[in-house]
Amino acid sequence: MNNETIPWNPNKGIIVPVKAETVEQITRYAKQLTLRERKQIIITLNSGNYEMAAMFLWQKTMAGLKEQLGSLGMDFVGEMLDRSDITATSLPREVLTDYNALNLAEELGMSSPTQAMRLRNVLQTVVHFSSPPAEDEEDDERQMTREEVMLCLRTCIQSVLGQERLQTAMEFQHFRRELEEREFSSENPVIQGLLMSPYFFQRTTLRVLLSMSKTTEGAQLQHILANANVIIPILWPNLMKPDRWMVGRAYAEVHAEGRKNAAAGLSKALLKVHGFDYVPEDLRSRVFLQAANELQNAHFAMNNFYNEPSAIGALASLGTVIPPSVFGRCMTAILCVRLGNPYGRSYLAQERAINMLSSLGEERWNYYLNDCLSTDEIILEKLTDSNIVKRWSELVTQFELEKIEIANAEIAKLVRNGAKGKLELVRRFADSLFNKLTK
Amino acid sequence: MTLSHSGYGNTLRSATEKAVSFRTQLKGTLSDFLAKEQMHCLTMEEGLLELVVALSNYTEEGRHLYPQVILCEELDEALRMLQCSDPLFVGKGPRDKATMTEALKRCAPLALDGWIVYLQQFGDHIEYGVLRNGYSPTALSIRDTMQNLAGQPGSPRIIIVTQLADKAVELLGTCSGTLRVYFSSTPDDAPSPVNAINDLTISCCSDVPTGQRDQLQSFVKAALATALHYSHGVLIAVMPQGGDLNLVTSDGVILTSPISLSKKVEDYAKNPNDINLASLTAYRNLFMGMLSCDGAVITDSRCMLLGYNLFINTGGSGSKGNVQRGGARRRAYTKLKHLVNKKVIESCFMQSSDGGTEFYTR
Repeated sequence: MNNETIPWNPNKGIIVPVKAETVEQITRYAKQLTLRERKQIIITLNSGNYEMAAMFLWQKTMAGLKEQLGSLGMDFVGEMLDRSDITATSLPREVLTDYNALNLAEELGMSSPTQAMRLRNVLQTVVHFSSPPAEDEEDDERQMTREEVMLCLRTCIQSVLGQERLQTAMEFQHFRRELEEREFSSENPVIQGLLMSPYFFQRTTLRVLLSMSKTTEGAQLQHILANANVIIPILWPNLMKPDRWMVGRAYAEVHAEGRKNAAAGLSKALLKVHGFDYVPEDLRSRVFLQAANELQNAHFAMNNFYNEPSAIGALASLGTVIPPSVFGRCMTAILCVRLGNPYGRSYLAQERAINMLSSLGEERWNYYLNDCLSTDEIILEKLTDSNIVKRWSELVTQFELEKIEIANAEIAKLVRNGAKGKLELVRRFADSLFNKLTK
Repeated sequence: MTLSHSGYGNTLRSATEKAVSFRTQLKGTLSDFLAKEQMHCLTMEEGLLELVVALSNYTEEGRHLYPQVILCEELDEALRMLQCSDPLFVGKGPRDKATMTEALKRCAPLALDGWIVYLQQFGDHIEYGVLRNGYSPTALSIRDTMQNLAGQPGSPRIIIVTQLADKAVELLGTCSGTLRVYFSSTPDDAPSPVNAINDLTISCCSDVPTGQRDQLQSFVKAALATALHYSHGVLIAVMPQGGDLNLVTSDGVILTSPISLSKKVEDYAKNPNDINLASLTAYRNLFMGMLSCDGAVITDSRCMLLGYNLFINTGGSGSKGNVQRGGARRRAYTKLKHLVNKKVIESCFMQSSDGGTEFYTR
């Protein structure tokens, strides 16, 4: 990634050297842990209590990360996560799920895409080993291996515990402050750099602008709106449809909240790009979005196989006609259930997921495959896993997706190779698409 | 009749028989307005004229109605911009005056409590019906939304026609801005009746934290606009935060537990669920009920409802030797203005029975 073209630098410093291999050598770098805690980890690991050590490490990592996120302002965090229940006074450790924290940290560049991927893998491992075992599962099968716990140890220290303070959080805060304290012109190098930066940064900048247009007041709001009127028109031509809907939804929300200045500023930006086609007529979409978020949270949280059935039931109960403004987000959540995670999938949730996917017409599949999947980092990342990709192949065949005309050549390859059962090729193309989002 | 940006017109019939008609004058002004909106055509001009005249004092079966009418060419776009939904098609007809009159007759009785009449123009015909205004009690009014869009390059062609007060109609276009038509002797440069409502809203929310102010103002303005249509006159006083209500009056209903509209709006903003929506709507209706009572409604600058049906003692309001003029409401308003000057209250507002509005603050 070219650092000169990104508005803030993602965290990618090497904290734990590759040559550090033993528990003692790696634990030494955990600056956020006390000496007593480090000793406890070493003793627990050397005694073979891997699950206990992994759980402790994970809890400390999440506590550190959530505290850093909280320092950005919880109302801002709530807006970034589309969660209206989070307010300025919410406590990060109480309201943020682990999955929320990982996603947001990645989105804000606090963890690099690779670190984020490793952290998500660790989350899945920790979730799996802390969930109750299946009835037919043998005790031996359920033991965490030394390799797994060592990966957990290295990842947690490298990403969070090894850093006194996440530098990226501070850099991001600086960028955010700039957006609310000064007005950029379209010729400004920062704006030109943004145009050249990976899609991921463009989308995050957009989300930050929209979030702040809902949470700031007075002069700050004026600066944010002025910058939105410069940045949105510049980004718009390359903006994917789900992100265009995000701008339209923000207008609908500030309008419903009676925020006159914010609505005026966003309507100007939308008029400049002829973007009112992406404004929902009402906020029925908000209920769908909330249900989709809850399903996604359930999927990535503890006891996911047990919690997914009720969460997808709640989404299904809202009706089969998903508003276009949140269709992409709902599809991500439904596909999370259908594709599962590397350890399997929730069998009780499958019938609902299949029903919901079966109710989609060709036009809707076409929209998801052509306009959403190429920027759906959650599903793309899933497709890089050898277990999940088999289920993708089944899904493509079951819904005859290969018959849909797909304009995006790379997505077409994901679908075609899935239909032919060429799983390795699917993985490779998914990996390439995922990297393109962030590099 | 007065047009807020032009003078009178008249037509002399004969030396002994005189008739004054404002038709030509109004038609000319509406023609200019439509031309700026790029919606100009003869039939439209005639139709809009009928619409404006009808809305100045619209009654159906003896009942006063206050429909808001949207004229547009692209209905979908208008819905998204104004954040309206659920268009209900009622009928269609040729693009002429008769269709517009018919549309108003069929749709006006439906245009109550959040429903608005729409007329969508096509090349050779007009389709009409009603649509639903934003569901949220804190949402921006379509008037405020239109003002945001007015003059912006790329704005679509939309005109909104509203009865502001008795014998006063406002046309708001995305290109040509605002045109007010008074069917009375109101001077051309008279401030819009809406200005007084805006000023009152700002005054009664002045001590509300900035983060909540926009939403609360939007809520109060919408409630006031609706309530004022249906009342026969209103008097409102705004106390400073912590002010002593007994210095104004003790004759009437003083709420032992003042109602914080600000808190209701805040609850709804934090958690826009069905329960908070129902609660906010219920308190809006209660507020509107208070406004429909005789006497004054008194709030404070945090939008706390302190009392209603309050009668102001006007005994000493006039200067010595001055004869007091006007009815009871006018006299009470004069007394309240006096209390504003003495810094007992922050501001006061009056809507007279003919719909005229006034606001006074230091």
